[in-house]
Amino acid sequence: MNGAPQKIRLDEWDARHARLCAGGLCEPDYGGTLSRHVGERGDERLRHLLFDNSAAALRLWNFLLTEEDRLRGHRLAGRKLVGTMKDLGTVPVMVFALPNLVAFYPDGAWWTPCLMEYSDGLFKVADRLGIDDSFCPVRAMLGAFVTGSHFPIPELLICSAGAVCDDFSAVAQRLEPLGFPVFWWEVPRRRSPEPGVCLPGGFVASDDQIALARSELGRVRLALEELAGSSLNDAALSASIRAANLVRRRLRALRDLAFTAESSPLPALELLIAEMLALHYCSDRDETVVVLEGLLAEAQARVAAGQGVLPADAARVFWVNPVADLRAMNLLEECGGRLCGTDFMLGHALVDIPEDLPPLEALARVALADPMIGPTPDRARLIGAEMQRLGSEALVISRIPGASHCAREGNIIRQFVQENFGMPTLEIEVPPLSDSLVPALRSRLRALVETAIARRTS
Amino acid sequence: MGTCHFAETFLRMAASAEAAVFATSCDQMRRAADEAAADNRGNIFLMNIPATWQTPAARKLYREEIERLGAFLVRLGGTAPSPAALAAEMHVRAREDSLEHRATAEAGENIPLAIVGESLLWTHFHLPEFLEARGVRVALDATSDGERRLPLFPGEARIDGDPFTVMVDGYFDSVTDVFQRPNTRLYDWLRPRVRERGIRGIILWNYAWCDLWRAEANRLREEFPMPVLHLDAGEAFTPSMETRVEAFLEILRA
Repeated sequence: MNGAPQKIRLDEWDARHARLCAGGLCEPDYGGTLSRHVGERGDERLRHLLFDNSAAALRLWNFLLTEEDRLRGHRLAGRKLVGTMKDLGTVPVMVFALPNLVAFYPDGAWWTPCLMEYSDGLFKVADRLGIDDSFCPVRAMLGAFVTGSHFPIPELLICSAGAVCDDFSAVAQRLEPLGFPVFWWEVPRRRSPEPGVCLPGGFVASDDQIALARSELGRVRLALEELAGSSLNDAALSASIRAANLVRRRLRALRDLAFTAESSPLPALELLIAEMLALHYCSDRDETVVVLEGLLAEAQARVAAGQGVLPADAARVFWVNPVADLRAMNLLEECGGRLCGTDFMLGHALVDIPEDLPPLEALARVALADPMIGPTPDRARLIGAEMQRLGSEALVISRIPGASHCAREGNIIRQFVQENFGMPTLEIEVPPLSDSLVPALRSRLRALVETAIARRTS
Repeated sequence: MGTCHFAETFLRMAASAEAAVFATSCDQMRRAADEAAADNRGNIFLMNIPATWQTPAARKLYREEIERLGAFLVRLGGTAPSPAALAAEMHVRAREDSLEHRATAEAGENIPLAIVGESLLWTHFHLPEFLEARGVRVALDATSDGERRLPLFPGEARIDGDPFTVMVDGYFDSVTDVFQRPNTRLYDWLRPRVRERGIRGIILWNYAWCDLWRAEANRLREEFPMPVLHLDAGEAFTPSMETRVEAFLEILRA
């Protein structure tokens, strides 16, 4: 039904959608054409992207782009919304253990200026509040809170503090005097190397740091219980952990297949979006599993048929940090590259949460496995190990404009990869709309790709 | 690009020191410590200062970090002080005149001004003189090297019983900084001092790319109904900064 895999434009998707429907495509209630998001929501960026042409990808995009409706639906159904901020993946596991609560990351508003090509005005609101473009694009979240126009205002805001980016912490702090109280919990900066407990994913943390994280998550549990009006017991938490692991396992299977197949079965853009589902399941955990299974089945079918969306000789690129402009993922492929490994700052949301430990202990360990809260050399080593495992040929570090962690981490990671593996590396900066920089970005990415391909024969 | 000058300066100084103690109070310093460690500069200690302050867990973390710092200093060749020696040192500190007292004592005819923000570097030390020469005095030094950092050791009698606990609590309870979450303690600390000292203007001193202080510029304006000058500092107190300060002072005098 899907035909040969390829990347198509938005206008081509409308015709394809009609053909798929005529062929019997069964869509969920949030289904429909992709182009409607331009008219209904102002997601103009979609006009400038290339999409995978599979029904599974269509479902992924529609799922992502209808989250605001879903959140409002949850509220109408009497569920309470919890805005979880910064920790990327841990607190939502706790929230979804309570049936009358739903978690989402207001942080996700950082892509709104890109998707709406600045017509949202969120940066202007942030500017007026003193959070200018010297901050990371996550400042759009501030505008979204103030205007109340991109997500419903949650009943409870929970944000990790401590070993987090300064920009995010500053933006979240700015919310409080504006009338959005925040529940802060401490994430200590992970120390290494020293004797301790091996965390999911391979980092090590000391017992005292795990104890602190566990105790802080205990406070989070109390706050959630108070909001929910019911107890959050270990059995419910354990069930939620098992459900989270289902999502994570599917994602890992998808990533491993996509990154290691001879020809990439899915484009970089859809792989980026898929990874984001691990954070809070786009507000619907069960549907996330369905969406991911659809993508995995599509990828498996393509690999089995020897098909891919990119030439088999595309340079295998490991990508570090998420991009503020989704178009950058298209650009990588246009330049002859393909994704072969990622560190989108959420590695701890992809690993299994231990199921054989008391649930808060397991969640504390996963929270401390966050690649961003420990030493950058540790993160560099993990990236290097992943590059080896996946057969990556080059490294791109994508700086997030204004992000405090980007000022120094790039050099450390690049130096490690170059010295230990001799691989070509490139550091670029991708703003929310990169159109004016595309010629320069293209030249630099092409040079990286050429270098990586040339190394195959040298 | 993107690195704060204060952290950069500290990193440079650390390169020539036998040991360096960094703090996790901001991402810039945390990652500067990473860079120092990645460059194989030995004897780097990164002290984890909790951002939260409301819980016993945060206090415990702070205490453990002080203990870890002590062990680090002993590894460098230092000697752990006896409780009596520590108590004696703390008594001295407790009795010292604070900058707060000095600032009050110096009150005169000049326009009282507050400087809020990060520490001044040695290249900026002439700023107070520059202000005084123009009829303004710094009546509230709320930079990270000013009054805010002075620990309180309430109840000197307690010092002799358990000096370490008193020291840890004294510092932990005195920390009022922009990195804390929530950072209400900073404003709770500022409000009475701004009021009592009749502050008429505020200079926010932050280094370019310091997100934490920069984000407070508008909050300071909302909180204190007076002129606020936001200075993005770099390596030096430049002529253009002087011009901005001069203009600000004109506004204060008007």
